[in-house]
Amino acid sequence: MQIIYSERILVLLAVLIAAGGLFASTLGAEYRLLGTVQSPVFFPRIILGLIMGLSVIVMVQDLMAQDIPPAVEKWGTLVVFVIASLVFANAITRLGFMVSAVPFSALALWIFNIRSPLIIAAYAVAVPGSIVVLFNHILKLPLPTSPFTYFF
Amino acid sequence: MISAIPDALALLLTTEALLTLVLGTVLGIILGAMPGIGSTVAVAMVLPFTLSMGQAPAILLLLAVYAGSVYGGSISAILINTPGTPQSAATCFDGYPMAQRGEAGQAMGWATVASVVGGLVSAVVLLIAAPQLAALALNFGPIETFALVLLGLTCIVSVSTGSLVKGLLAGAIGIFLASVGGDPVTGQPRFTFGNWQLISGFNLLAVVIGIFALSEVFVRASKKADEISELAQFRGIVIPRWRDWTGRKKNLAKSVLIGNVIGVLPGTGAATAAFISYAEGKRSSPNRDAFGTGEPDGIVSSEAANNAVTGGALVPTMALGIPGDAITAVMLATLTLHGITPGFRLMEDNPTLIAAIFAGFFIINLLLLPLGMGLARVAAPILRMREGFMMTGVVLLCGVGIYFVRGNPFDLLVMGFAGVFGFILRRQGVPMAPLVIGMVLGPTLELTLRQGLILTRGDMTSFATDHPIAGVLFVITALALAFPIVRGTLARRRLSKTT
Amino acid sequence: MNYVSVTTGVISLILSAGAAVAEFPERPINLIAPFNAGGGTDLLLRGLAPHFAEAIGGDVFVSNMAGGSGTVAASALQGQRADGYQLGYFSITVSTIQPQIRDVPYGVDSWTPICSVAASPTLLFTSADLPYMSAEDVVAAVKANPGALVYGSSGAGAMTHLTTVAAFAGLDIIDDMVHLPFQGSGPAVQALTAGTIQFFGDTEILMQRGDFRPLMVFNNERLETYPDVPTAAEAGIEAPLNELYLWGGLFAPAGVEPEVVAKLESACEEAVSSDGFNEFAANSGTVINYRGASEFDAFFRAQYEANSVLIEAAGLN
Repeated sequence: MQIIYSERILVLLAVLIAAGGLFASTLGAEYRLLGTVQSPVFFPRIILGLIMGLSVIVMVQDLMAQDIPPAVEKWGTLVVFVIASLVFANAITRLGFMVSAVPFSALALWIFNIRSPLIIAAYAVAVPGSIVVLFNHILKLPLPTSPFTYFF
Repeated sequence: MISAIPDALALLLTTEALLTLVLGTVLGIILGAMPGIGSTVAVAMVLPFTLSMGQAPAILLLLAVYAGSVYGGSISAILINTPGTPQSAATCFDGYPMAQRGEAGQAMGWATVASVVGGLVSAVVLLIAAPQLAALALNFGPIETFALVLLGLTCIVSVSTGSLVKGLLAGAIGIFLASVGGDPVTGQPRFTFGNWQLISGFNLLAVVIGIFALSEVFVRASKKADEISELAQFRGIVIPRWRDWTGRKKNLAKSVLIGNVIGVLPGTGAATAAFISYAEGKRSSPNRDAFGTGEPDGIVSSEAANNAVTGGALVPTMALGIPGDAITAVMLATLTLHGITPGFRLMEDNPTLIAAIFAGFFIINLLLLPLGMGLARVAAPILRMREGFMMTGVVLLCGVGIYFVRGNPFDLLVMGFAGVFGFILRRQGVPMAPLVIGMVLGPTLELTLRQGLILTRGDMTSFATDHPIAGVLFVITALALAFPIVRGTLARRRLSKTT
Repeated sequence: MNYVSVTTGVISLILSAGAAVAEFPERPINLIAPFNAGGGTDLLLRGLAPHFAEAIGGDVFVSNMAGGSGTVAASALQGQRADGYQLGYFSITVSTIQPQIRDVPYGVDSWTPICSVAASPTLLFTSADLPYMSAEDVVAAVKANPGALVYGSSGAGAMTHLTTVAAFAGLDIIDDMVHLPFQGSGPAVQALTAGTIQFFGDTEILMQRGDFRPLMVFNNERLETYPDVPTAAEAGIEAPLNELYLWGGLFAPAGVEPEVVAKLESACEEAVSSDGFNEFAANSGTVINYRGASEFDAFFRAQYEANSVLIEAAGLN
C-alpha cells in the first residue's frame, strides 16, 4: 500500500485529475460556432485526452518500477526560497524593482550560505542598483518604479 | 544581385558602417545572453537610434543586433541552462551538460564555430539564390506548414531522456499550456475561467525561463553543499581544433542546410529549425548515443541551424516583402520609415541596398568569432563567483527579462509558478525539453491544422493526397518515428543471433 | 511598524497631493503601446514620443504591454490612477471592438480620451493574378460557385477581418464565402500572393507590399493615390458599413482633471503638427488625423455604437 502514496503517483494523479477537470469544463461551456470553423475546444480536447492517457501509462510504469525521487536535503530552506522568489516576482511591478530586489537578494545570499553581513549588504545594493542604472539610465528602458519615488 | 556587390561594398567599407556593425553585434550578444531580453527586445531597443541614421546603416545596425542576440542566446543556454531566446532551447540539451562537466569553454567554442559557419553559409546562399528560395516559400501554405511542424514534434522522441512516455506526456502538457487563452481561429477565450489576464495565455518565455532557470535555482537551494559553481574552470572560449571535427562535418553541413531551408519558410522560425536539426543529428550523427549528455554534435546541430535561419528569414522579407518573424517585421518597418516600400519590387528597385544588407550580414557573422571570444574573456571572472552570487543574480535577471518581454505583471507570476511546476516534474523524471518543444510548436500546429480543415472542409486525407509537399513530409515524419524502433529491433535480433 | 506606514503614507501624500496641477508634468510620462515592440503601433508611438516630450516640456518614454489583441494593456491601464502620467495608444479595435466581443474589465466609460493621432481608411483587395476587377465580378463569382472563394484576416475581430466582413456583408454574399484567419497580416499577405486566399483587407501601406489590385476603399471619397478605385458606397455598400478607418489615439484612465487634460491635449496637438512628426508620418504612410479631447470623446463614443453593427455582421457577438 505504501507505493500508492508515493510522491510520483500523487503528482501523476494530480496531472490526471487536472486534465480530466479541464476536459469536463469544455463540455459545459458554450461557444459561438461560425460556419465551417471548428469549436475552440476541438484541439485542446484532443490534447487533454492525450495527457490523460499518457499519465495513466506513466503511472502504471512507475508503479511497476517503484523508483523514488531523490530526497530533498533542505526542505525548510527550499520552501522559504520558493516563497521568497514568488513574492519577489509579484512585487517587482507593485513595489518597483529596487525595493523588491534588495531584500530578496539579501535573503537569497543568506540561503546560499553567504553569511558576511558586509558582503550581503554590498551585493544586495550594488547588483540591483547597477541593473537599475543600466536599464533606466543607459539603455533608457525603465524598470518599474516604487510608489514612493520615480527615481527607482 | 551579384553585379551590385561592388557598389554595396563601397557602402559598407566606411568607418561609420563598420563601427555600426561592431557596436551592434556587441550589444546584440550582451542582450541576447540576458535571459528573457532576447532578440525582439534587443532590436526594439536600438530602433529609435536608427531613425536618425541612413538607410543602409539603419538596417545593418538592426541586423547586427539580431544576429548577435541569436548567438548570445546560446551563451546563457550553455552556462546557466537558460535559453536567452526560444531558438537556443535546443542548445541547452547538450550545452549545459558539457558545462556541468567543467567544459563550458569547449561547449561555447562549438557553439561559436557552428553559429559562424551557419550564418556565413546562409549569407552566401542569400546573395546567390534569394529569388529562387522565395518562390519555394510561396509553395508553403497552411497544410505544408502543418506537416513541417509535425516533423518538428518528432524531436520530442529524440530529447526524451530516460522515459519516452514521460517525454510524450511533457510534450502534450506543453501543447496544452500553449493553447490556454484566445483561440487563434475564432478569438474566443479558452480555459480562462473569466480571468482577463489569461486571455493572452501563458507567455512562452515566462514558462521556459521558469522551468529551466528558476527550477534549477530551486534545486541548488535544496542541496546542502555550498559548491563553487562548475563554471569555476571557465577561462574563455576554447575553439575546437580541426581534428576535433573528424566525423562531425557532415552533421554541421546538414544542420546548416536544414536551417537555411526552414528559415526561408514563413511562420516556422528558428526554434523549429533548431529542433528538427537536433532530431536529425540524433538520428544520423555517428555520436548519436551521446546526445543529451553533453555531445558537441548536439550543440552544433542546434546552433548551426538557428543561425542559418537568421539569413534564411531575410529571403521572404526582402524578396516578397513578407516578414518571416517578429524581427524581420521590425526591419520592414524600418525600411518603410526610410521611405522604401518593402514588397515584391524591393529587390529590383534597390539592388545596391539589398546587396549591402546581405554582404553586411556576412561581415557580421565574421565578427561573431572575435567579438564572442573577447566578451567571454571579459565575462569569465563574473562566472567564477561563488554559487550563491551567481544564483541570486540569475533570479534578478530573470525577473528583469520577463518584465521586458511584454511588460505584464502576470508573466512574472507565471514564471514563478512555472519554476515550482518544473521543479516538481523534474523530480519525477519527466524531461523538461519536450514541454518546451510542445509549447513552441503547439500554437502553429493547431492553427495550421484548423486552417487546413477549413480549406479542405474537414477532409484530412486530402492533406496528403492533394498536397505533394505535405505528403512527402508526412512520410519523412513516419520514417523518423519508425527508425529508432526498427533499429532497436534489428540490433536486438543481431544480438540474439550471436549469443 | 506604525511609524513606517505613517512615514510612507506622509511621503506618498506629499508626492501625490504636493504635485500641484500647475507643475504638471513633474515626472516622466509613460506612453503605453498595447502591442509588441516593433509593430506598427509601437513604431508610431516611438515616432511621436520625442515631439510629445518637447511639447509638454518633460520626459516621455514608451513601454510595451502586449497580449490579447491589445486588451491586456487596456485592462491594466483602466485600473490605474487617473493622474495623466500613463497614457495608452489604443486603436479602433482595442477601444471599441474588443470590449464588445470579449469579457474585459473596460468599456466605453473607462477612459478620458486625450487626442486622436492617426486614421487611415482600409481597402479591400485581391491578387493581381485573379480575374476579379470589381465588386460585381466578385458577387457574380460567388453566386456562380458558392463556398469556393476564401477571404483572409490577420485574426478574428481584427481590423482586417472587419474590412472583409463590411465588404462581403455589405454585398450580401458573406454566407457563401469562407473566412480563413491568420496570425498577423504578414502570413495573410503571403497566402494572398500564393493563392491560398483570394481577398484581404488592410490599409494602403500594407497593400503596396504585394502585387495586389484594390477593389474598393472604405473612405468618404476616392483616394488621391488610387483615383480609379471606387469608394465602398459607390460599390454598393450601405452605411454604416461603408466607412472604416484604422484610427488610434491617446487615452488616459477615466477621471483625469480637466487642467491636466488640457495640457496633454495641447502638447499632443503641437506634437502631431510638428515638422518632425509630419516627416515621420509621410515616410511611414501614417495618415495624420488630429482631434482634440472633447471632439475625440464624441467620435470615440459614436464609433463604439456604430461598430456594434459590424460586430453583429461578423458573427462575433
